[in-house]
Amino acid sequence: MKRPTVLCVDDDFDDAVLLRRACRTAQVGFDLQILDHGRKAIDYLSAPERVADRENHPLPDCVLLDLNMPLQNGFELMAWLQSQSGLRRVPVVVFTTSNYPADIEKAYASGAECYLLKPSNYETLVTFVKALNHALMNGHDLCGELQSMSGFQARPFEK
Amino acid sequence: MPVPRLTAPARRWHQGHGSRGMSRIVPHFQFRGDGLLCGMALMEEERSELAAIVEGSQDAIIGQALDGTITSWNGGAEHIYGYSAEEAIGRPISIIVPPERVGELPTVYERLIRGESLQLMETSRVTKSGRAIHISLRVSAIRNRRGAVVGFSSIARDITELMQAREERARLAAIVENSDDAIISKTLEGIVTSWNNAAERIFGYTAEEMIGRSITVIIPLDRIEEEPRIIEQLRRGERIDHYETIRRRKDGRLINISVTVSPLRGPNGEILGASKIARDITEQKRAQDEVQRSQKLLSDFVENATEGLHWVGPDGTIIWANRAELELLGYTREEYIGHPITEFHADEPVINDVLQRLSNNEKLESYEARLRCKDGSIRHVLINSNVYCENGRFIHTRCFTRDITARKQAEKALHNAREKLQQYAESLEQEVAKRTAHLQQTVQSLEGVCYSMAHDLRAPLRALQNYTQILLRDYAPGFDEEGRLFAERILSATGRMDLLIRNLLEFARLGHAELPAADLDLNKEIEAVLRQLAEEIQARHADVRVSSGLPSVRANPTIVQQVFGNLILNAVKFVPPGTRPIITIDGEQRGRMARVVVKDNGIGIAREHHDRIFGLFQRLHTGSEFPGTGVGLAIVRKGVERMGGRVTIQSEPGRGSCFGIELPLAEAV
Repeated sequence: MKRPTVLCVDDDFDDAVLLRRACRTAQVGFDLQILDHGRKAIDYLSAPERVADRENHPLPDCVLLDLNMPLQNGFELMAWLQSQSGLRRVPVVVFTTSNYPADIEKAYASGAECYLLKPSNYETLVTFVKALNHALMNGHDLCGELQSMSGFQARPFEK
Repeated sequence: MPVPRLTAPARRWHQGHGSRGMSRIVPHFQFRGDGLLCGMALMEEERSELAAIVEGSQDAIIGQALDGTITSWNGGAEHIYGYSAEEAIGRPISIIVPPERVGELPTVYERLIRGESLQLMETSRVTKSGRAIHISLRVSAIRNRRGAVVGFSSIARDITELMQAREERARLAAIVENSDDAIISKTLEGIVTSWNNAAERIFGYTAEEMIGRSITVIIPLDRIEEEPRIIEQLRRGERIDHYETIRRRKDGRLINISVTVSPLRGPNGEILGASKIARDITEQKRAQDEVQRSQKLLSDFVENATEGLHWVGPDGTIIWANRAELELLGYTREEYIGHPITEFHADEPVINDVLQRLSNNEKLESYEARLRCKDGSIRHVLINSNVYCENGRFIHTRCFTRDITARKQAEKALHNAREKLQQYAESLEQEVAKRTAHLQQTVQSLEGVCYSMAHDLRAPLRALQNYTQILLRDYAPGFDEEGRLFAERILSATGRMDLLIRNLLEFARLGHAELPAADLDLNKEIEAVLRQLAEEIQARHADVRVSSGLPSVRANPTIVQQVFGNLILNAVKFVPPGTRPIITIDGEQRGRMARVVVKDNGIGIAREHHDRIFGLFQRLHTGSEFPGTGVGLAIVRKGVERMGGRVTIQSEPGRGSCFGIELPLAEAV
């Protein structure tokens, strides 16, 4: 069986290093692709040579997306994903330090599957990676798997 | 016809004193009786001549016997008494004597017989027709040659007309004397010839003083030239009527007189002098002057009034207007008076209404109108008006016009100023709104800056924490005791800094972020909080007891969770060492508010700190005793107040704390 792919878009080098380390600690069954730039993500997902080379650039089963990035932020990338018929269904987990209600609301409105704050605690990060792995490997609902996580931000109250 | 025989006829007539008085004319001849003869043949001729004279006399010449029987009766007697000689001769004289005079006769006869000579007497007689007449009578005795009285002769003249004239004259004189007006006559030379009582009274001079003197005595020097002019007019036969002038009294006082002077003509129409009737009009003149003066004062007052005054007749025409009104509008008297009032009103319906009301006898008070000036400008006025009536008849309106143009202009200026102010206020409001919007944008962008700052600050912190944890977790065997301690201190410090950043961010957001409210089930919200705090609660073995029936509130869910999260966290944290935290959460409805009480068995807070603890960065303990940022309770208070509620505290050291949170009740039941 083909290994699932998680595409992480995050400009923070430390977060990327920690995530990769947590994946190793958790001994996950998915492949982790990390891109530090929204442009690179678009390129990965839509550039003809990448599309042609899905062997080395497989379509992700999940996108872990930071919001605050230079040049092209997470919202813009989500908007782009929504505009791509082949990518619209790829679940996006917003993985950010912002618990600004406006950001949470906007993220869900832009098509995020769920919203998670980056943990300060390494153990928590490992737990998250394990839950993500569990959902992907078993085909479980991501949101259902993650909502008991600390740092999980539920879909905000709607007026 | 028997004729008395007369001797020594005397043909002369003497005139008496009276200028033309007939009464004083006395015949001066003498009867001498039968036997007394003077001559010879010519005597008879004289006799018949005398008889003719007697017969032709206008006077009644009557002869009578001693017993009163009439013996002769001439033509004059016939003419005066109406009896012919035939009718009278032989009859007693008493036929012509009125009964009341019959008694006079014997006395007269006796005196004559005694030889007395009688004066001319005036008496009355009665004619054949019974008319009473006045006569002037002289009776004489007729003696014979021996001197004995044999009869009487009487000569009488009818003076009835004379008497009447005399009476008339007396009556006229009385009228003149009793007149209130001075009646004076004078010659053409100005010499006074008569001066009545009133003249004495008016001018102070008596008749004695004035008659014979020049009339100029009473003429003041400055009017002395009037006299020749008057005389001149009189000479021409002109009459001067009601000539008003001034004369001087004897006492020097000047008086006003009204005088009428007429020429006095002689029998042939020649002008002999003047009659002058003068009336003292000093009083009248004074009264007139008084009336004139009060009229002048009144008219001066009215003309110089500062208020416009006018009269309008029943036909709507201006009858009169004062100067103030003319000056107000700029018209001349001719341009205004006599014109219809409607010409001068700017608003036809207004003046029509005014006239309508006045003709209904309504009073107008402070009625506003606009008048048109000659130069075309408009004056705002207040009209007070009513109607003057005589016997119920509309004579004219009494209209008072006050110029309020200046006031109107001031009002308009005020109005404009208000409008301008309003405009300013509006533009100010717009400006404020604009700036507020700008400020809001600034705040929002600041908020954005805060978030990115927090994000950027926390990223390295998170890296520090995670790396340190990995160090401790995976590389611990390589550290000695002190190295491990330092790694742990790094972790602890970064943890505190992370908490501080998060808390500050939350607090800052409470100050300005929009916090939409919804009806919330507090039990559900507190459950969510407890889930988030599960780690800490478990670590401390805390016992959290939540009452099942908490009221629903109207609030923002995020803030509610923060508020209760902070309170529960504090309750869990601030307990004496070795004590198991017990927290009870209970609630009730209080009017339109829900009150939730969070009670703990913690260390408690002294009363003097109750206010302080809600302030930012207010900490009562050192970090080693009870770690914290000093932001938690500040967030609680600010959050609750922003949702329209309030926070209370009851606490004593060692007795636990009791926080009361009041929030508005949910709107939906």
